This record gives sequence, C-alpha cells and structure tokens, in this order.
Amino acid sequence: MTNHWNDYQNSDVFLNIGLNTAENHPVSMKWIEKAREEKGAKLICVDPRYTRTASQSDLYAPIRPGTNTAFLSGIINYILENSLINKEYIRNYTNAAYLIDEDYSFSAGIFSGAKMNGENVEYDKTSWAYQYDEDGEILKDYSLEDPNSVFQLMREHYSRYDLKTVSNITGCPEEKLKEVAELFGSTSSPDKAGNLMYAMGITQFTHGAQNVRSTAILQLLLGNIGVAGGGVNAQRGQSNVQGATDFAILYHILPGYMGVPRDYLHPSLSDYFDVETPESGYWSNKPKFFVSLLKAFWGENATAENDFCYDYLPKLDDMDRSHISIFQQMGKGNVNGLISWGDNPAVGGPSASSERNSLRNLDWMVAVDIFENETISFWKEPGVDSSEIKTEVFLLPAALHIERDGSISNSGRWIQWRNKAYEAPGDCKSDLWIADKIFKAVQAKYEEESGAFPKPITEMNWDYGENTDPELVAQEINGSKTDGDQLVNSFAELKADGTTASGCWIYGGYYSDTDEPATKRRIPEKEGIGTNPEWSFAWPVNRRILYNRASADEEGKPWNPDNPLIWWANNSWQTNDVPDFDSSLDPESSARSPFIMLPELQARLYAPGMAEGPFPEHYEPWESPINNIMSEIQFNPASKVWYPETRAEIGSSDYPYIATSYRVTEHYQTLISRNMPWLNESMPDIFVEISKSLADKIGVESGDKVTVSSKRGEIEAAACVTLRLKPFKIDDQEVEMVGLIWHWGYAGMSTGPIANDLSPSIGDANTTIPEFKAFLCNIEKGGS
Amino acid sequence: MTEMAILNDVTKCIGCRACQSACKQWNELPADKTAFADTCGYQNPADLSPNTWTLVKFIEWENNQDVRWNFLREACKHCSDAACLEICPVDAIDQTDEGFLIINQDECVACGMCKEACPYDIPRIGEKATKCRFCVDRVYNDLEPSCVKTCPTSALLYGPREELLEKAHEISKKNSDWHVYGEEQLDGLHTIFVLPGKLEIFDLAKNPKHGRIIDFTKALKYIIPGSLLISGLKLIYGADDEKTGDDKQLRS
Repeated sequence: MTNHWNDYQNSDVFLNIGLNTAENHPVSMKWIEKAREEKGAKLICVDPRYTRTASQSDLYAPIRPGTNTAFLSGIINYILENSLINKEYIRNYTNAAYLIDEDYSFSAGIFSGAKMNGENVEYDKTSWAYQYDEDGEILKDYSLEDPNSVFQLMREHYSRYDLKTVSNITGCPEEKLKEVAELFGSTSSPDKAGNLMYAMGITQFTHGAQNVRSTAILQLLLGNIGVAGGGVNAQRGQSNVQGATDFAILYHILPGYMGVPRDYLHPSLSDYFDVETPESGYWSNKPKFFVSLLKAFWGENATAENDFCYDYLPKLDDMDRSHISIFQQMGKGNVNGLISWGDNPAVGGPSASSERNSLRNLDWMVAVDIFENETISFWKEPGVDSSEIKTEVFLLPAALHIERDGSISNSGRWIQWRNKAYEAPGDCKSDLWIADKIFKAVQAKYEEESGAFPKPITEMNWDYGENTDPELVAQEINGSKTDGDQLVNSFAELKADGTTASGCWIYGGYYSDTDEPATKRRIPEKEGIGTNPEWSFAWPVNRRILYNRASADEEGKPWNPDNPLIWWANNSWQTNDVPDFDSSLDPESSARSPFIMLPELQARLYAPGMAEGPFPEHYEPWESPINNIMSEIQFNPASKVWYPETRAEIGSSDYPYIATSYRVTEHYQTLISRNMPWLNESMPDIFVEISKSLADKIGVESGDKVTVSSKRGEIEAAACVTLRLKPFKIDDQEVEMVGLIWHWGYAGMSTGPIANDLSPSIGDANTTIPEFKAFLCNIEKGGS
Repeated sequence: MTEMAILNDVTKCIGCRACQSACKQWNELPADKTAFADTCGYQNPADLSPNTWTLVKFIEWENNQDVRWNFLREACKHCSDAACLEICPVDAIDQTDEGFLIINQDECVACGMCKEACPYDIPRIGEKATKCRFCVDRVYNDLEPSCVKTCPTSALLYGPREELLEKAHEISKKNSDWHVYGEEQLDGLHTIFVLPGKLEIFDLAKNPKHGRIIDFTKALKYIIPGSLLISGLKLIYGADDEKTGDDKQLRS
C-alpha cells in the first residue's frame, strides 16, 4: 500500500476493483464505514459477482473476469476526455511532459519493436525510450502539447477505449461505466481523495502487472497518489504477506527489494553495481544497502578484498525459477527435494492435480506446517496408491503465530511486534527455531564433509543464541555498525564500505532502541489525521504515506487543507508525516521530484520497462469465450506459454463458460480454517455459484450436484443458484460465469474437491503470477 | 437503572459472521454439524439451536431490477412485554432492570413453553431452554456483549436504549427506504434495528403478538398446580423443538 488502513477514514470515494474487501479483509470495512458515516464517502464496487462488498456499495458495476485493463482504460479515457484530472499534479509530478522516441508507435495491438513468434512477441524496447538532449537530460514539454509527449501519446492510446467499446468488452453497461467514471473522477478535485483498493482480482492474470499499471495511471491522473485518503492500496490476503515480500519470498528479489544477481549480467559485485545502480533517485544508494546485506549474511568474513563474499551469493541463470517453472521441472524429474514451508501447492497451485503428480517425482519432502495439509499428505490422496510413491516425507510441526514472538508487517507497512500468548503444544516449534536447527545441522555437515562449495554455509554469520532469540534477528534486520554492534537509527547510516550490516535496509530504525523498540510502541494518536506515528513503526523511516510531497502543490500548499501531510509555512516544511523528499529543499526545488524511488523522480504514466508495452493494452485472458475486440492479438503476447496442450480454444463449445475463483470470509487459504469447527459449521462445503439463467439452461436448482470441468480436470460440487450472478452481455452475446471457491481439499476436518484442479498453469508476463481469475470451463448437472 | 440495548445497524453489516462465532466462543458452545444443502446458500446453521444463540441470516432480494444482499443478526430481542417471562410455568426467566431476559438454567424444566410463546420463535429447547443472555457475565463486568465487541464495522453497538434509539433514527434519516424497528414493538425491544428495506424483507412483524398459547396457559396457571401443569403441557407440546411447522399458526 502507498497508504495504510487507518488512513481509509480520510477517503472521499473508494474504488474496490479486483478485490472483495468486505469478504476477505473485513476489518477494512471499519475504516470504510467510518468514512461513509462521518464524511459521506462513497464506495464503488466493481466485481463479476454481487458480493458482500457490493452489498455495502453506493455503486455496483459488474465486470467480466479478465477485463480490468479495458475497464480502467475506459475510466481513464473518460476522465481525460472530460478533464476530470488534476493537470497541475500531472505536469509536475509525473512523466506526462517527457518526449518519447520518434520511432515509438502502437498499432493493431502491438507496440513498436515487436518480433512476432507465433502468438508470442519479443520486444526490442529501444523505440520505447525517452528522448534525451546532448547532456543526457530527458527532453520535456511542460505545456504537454508536443505530439511525442507522454501526455499526448497517452490520450491517443486511450482514445480507443470509448464507453461503448469498453462496455462490449467488459459486459458493464455503458451508463454504469459512466457513473463510475464520474464518481471516481470527482476525486480529481484537489480537496478530494480517491482510494483505489485492489488484490488478487487485479494481479492474477496473464496481464496482471498491466492491470496494476492501470490503477497507478488512473490515480496519478486524478492526483490521488501521496495524499491522505488516496493511494493505490494493494490489500494483502494474509496478515504478513507484506513482511514475506519485504524479506524476499519471491525468487528474484533479495531482502529490501534488490534484484537477485544473475550470472550472465552480474558476474562480479562491480558488474552488479554498474548495471543495477541508477545515477539518480534514492536507489543510487543501492550499494550501501547491498553491501550491508552481504555483511549481515557473512559478517567478518565479508571484506572489501573479497567483494564482501559476493561470490557466495547464489546467482540466477537464464531459466525462469517461478512457481510454474519449478513444478514443470519437478514433473520432468529434475527436482529431487522440496522444502514446503507454510505452503500448500497441492490445493493452492495452478492446475493443482498436475502439481500433485509432480510431487511424486521427489526423493524427499520436508514440510513445515501447523497441520498435515494436502501437500504433505499428497501420497494419501484418495485414489492414490501410496506403494507406488517413492517420496520420503518429513513433517515438522510448526507453532501458530500466537505461539511465538516476532513481528508481522501489515498491508500498510506497519511492522508490529506481537508476543507469544501461550506455549505451542507438543513438539510444535517456531519457524525460527526450525530454521535455526536445520541451518546448524546443514552447516555441521558441511564442516564435517566439506562438499563442492562449503564456504557460503560454513562462513555464514549465524548466531541467534541457544534459544534462537527473535529479538537478535530483529537487531540484525534493523542494521548495526560492524565495530561495536551499535544499532543504526535508519538506513541513512548504512555504508558501502563494510562498516555497517543490515538484514533488510528498509526496516532500519524499527528496532534501533533495544529497550523500547519502535516496533513495540503502542501509543494511539490523540489528535491528527490517523497517521498514528507512535504506534509501531512503518517502513521506510516510519513514513505512513508514500510520495507525500505530492500531497501539496508546487508552492507547498496542501491540495486538501483539511488533511495536510506536509505544508510550507514560516520558511520551512510543517509535517503530519515523515517527508518523502529532501525536506531541506524549498517547495520550488522539491516540486518536480516527489517520486524519489525512480531515477526520473517523477511518476510513470508511461513505463518503458514493462514486458508487454509502456501503456496498458487490453488482451483477453489466455482462455476466453471471445476474440479480442481491441485487436487481433488475443492474449498477452509477452506471456510465456508452458503447457499449450492444456488450453481450451477461443469460444470453445466444450468449455463455453468463464470460470473464476475466490475465497469466502469464513475460510482462510487452504487448510487452516477447515480444522476449526465453528468455521466449518458456518461454511461447511464447497459450492459453485451460477446465475439463474445458467441454472435454467443446464436444468439445476440450488443444492443439485454439478460437475465443473476444464481442459485440466473436473470437480463435483453443489450448485448455488443466485440472483447475485448475472450473465455478461459481451459483443451482443450473453456469456455465463461459474464461481469457484478454492479452499477445500482432502485433508483436515472438512474436506472437498480441489477447485484449482481446473485452473491453468500460465502466468503474467512480468511476474508469472498464475491466471487463477479467468479461464474456461463447462458445467453439467450431476456427477459420479 | 438505565435500560440497555444492542443497536443492529443492518445498513452496515457485511455478513462476516464474527458475531456468530464470538457468541459461540464466549459461551463455549460447540459447532453443529451442517451442510451446504441445509440452506443452499451462505447461511449456516440454518436455524438457531441449543448450540447456536446468535445466527446471521442471509437475505437475498431484489429491489426493482437490482439485487440486494443483507445480513440480519438473529437472536433474542429481549422484549419489554416478554411472552416467555409471562408464560414460564416455573418462573425460570428473569427480566433485569436493564431489560435483559435471562433463562435461569437451574430452574428451567425445558418444557418449551417459552419457545411456543415467543413472537420471534427464539428459544431452543435441548436439555434446557437456551437463547442469548445478553452476555450478562460480560456486561456486569463493564465489557460489551461478545457479538458487539467483535463486530468490525460497528453494525452492532451496545449502550443505553434511549441513546441508541436516537442514533438509529439519525441513521435511518439518510435514506427514505430505511426503517427503525424495535422502538414500539412489544413495549420496546432491547435490540433496535436499522433496516435497509421493508420489514417484510427481514421477516419482522410490524405488530408482533405473543403466541396464542399464552392466554390459555394464563388461565391454566390459576387452576392447576405447577408440577401438574408442566407435565400436562409437556404431554401436549412435547419438550423438543421440532414443532416449527406450527409456528405461523401459533402467531396471530
């Protein structure tokens, strides 16, 4: 999130798109309802179904799954055409004025520089670049009139997304689109704040990253980034997903969002710095954070002479190491062992039955979990002959979050320490204890037997005490000086010369005072705008709202004087939050550099680094009932196809319906809640939601058994026939949808079929997040 | 003593059912075995039971062409003019100064009369008659009822009845389709509702009446000794709660 949960009270209009906030983030509604009650805020809900969030909305707009970019593009075009934008904000705070290479073009769904290979494209992105003058400065036209300016190119690009076309694609009636555009567009007024909230309904598509880009473009045009009550707010589906991402749960980033080195790009530390360190923007400090990370990893062994043990750091080769790829390799027998830690791909992975089959090729699996979930017990799945499975499986019982000390980082980046409430039962141990014991055992083995490359393990800096004290880990994360272990107060103290160490630079300062660590503070704000600066610690540097220079105009006057974050008075900056800019600069000097994490220092309406193009373009999901109305390019051409044989054809008569998948309030991910009797009582069985018209067509009533199938598999469930689903009118035909709930599996107290047996193994072109939210299926009455 | 109440602002309820679970947690009530087929919808359990004192009802309806989905907390409404209180042959039910109706479990004989008489068909009869007891063990210790405490959106509030009534009217003014319920009914309920639609949608009677059985038993109470009365009524009505089919006839 750019903003934070408590800040929702400052919003004037909420746009819930690609999430179901009331269902999956119920506590968000505390703040949304507060804003609605106290200041008459409005809630817009865009969703394929009429959901629990829709039930609270002031405006509900249906959308066909997989058409968010088209929907948002329609809104963007409308606000551009009708001047529902904050032009001063756009001019100063974004790259709207930048001139783009004269060879840049877009036609027939493809950007310039394309080399087509069947349905796929490889882009030479040279023509997407900014124009530069002789001194290397980007050429800009602050009148925004130049035809090669981002602003004019953007107008042209989006002009194709008129309401009628967008309605044809999305199935959202034109008048609803217009209502959404006008209501959310009303936040272009400087004193109004629009809050765009999203989750997996934006990201889990082959074009998910461009959906996110669309949300950012919309919010920038409205002047909603950096202001209280505004923001692009990615709501995390689990209490510590933010923390997991901060600490590099993804294969291609290191703690603190630094890229994992690649052997072909960064063979040496100086190569890494040359390629990865921009000349301007805050990331120009990357070497300080990177060297400090290496010092945290290898301590005294990391010296300037040995490039701080850079050679010890594993490097990526040119192979994709994302989830889909790993399971493909496992299926081919190329993966011998798996540590599945708090994960359950047997239920949560795409084409889950295929992933369960892949698990059979493992020699061993170590699983760490609070329950014996479906992944751990894949060899016990009903119908599976365990005598045919060679895999040796070890289950290490883990302590639940309330059975251990530690911090979690919420969606608003607040790092909150929580104390153990009671002892874990039996042999259950904290994740930290388990990690410590595994590491020490591996290290001892390397020390005894050496091995191909033992030093990264044997020389690792690893000392968290006999009882693996999480506070010692916290201190390592916080960062310290290497002479005397004095903790740093912020990442500004980190150095690239080996005199500092830091496990995750963005957390600098959260634990610098060991007596009263900021992460443990619990002082509610007495008066203010919800910033609560003395309640825990928000990364970075306790800043609650990112890019907050943009909350005031060029002269330092807040756009909204009622909720100011920073303002210029008496020749200095006054603040309600930690400034996200060099506050020694006066308003004029800081006016055109509010986005300090970008080398341009101005936000990107146009993003030349994306895989499939600098502006978002609508492509259909990989599986779709219709041909793309916008162009002949059917689905994201930059998206890698892993299993072409598992794709249902466009408009397939075997699989004529759209399937989408989601969660319900009562259950949590895969197994955890299905061992909780009260929750099983309230949501006992899997069901699939369909409209009355689809129910009539296939001859079922609520409660009847149905079989839902896709090119990947089939499941049986009870039908839930509801008024809340309606067919979409798409390009003069009616398209029906089947809603799948994916919590169930064969383990635990409440069991049921695995909905993800139906979902496809294809991912976004930039991130490879799987396309769980839109694919094709069939549904028939009856079952086995 | 100030009369207290719960305000159920249905316009703010998101149907998360935290209240349903919190009620079970505080009162240590086990889960019942349920199935999707029980309701063919999101609601479960289908009905109140000896193990379920608070239940969120899911109400899907259409307002012209637009679908609506609302969620109503079903539990004892703690009427001022309380049929259960009047009918209980062993006087096992107390009405506190705050307006709470409490079934004294030591005295209850599970005859089922309170269920039959209740205008809202709330008590359920197992080994004893059970229903919401306003978390008296919490509120007398300066804690809110557990359902109120857990509600994320303040769709449930606890406080002096007069203040909550005022708030309810303030909320309902925002929309001409919204109604306050519980002010006049049965001399005033101790659950006040703000309903985003007509009463019929929420199956709430404008003029709820005590079950007709009450007149009959009032008479009997004068002429037959208590123990005999109980045995007799148990014979007539049974002590189980399987007679829901007759409920509508019993209500006037």
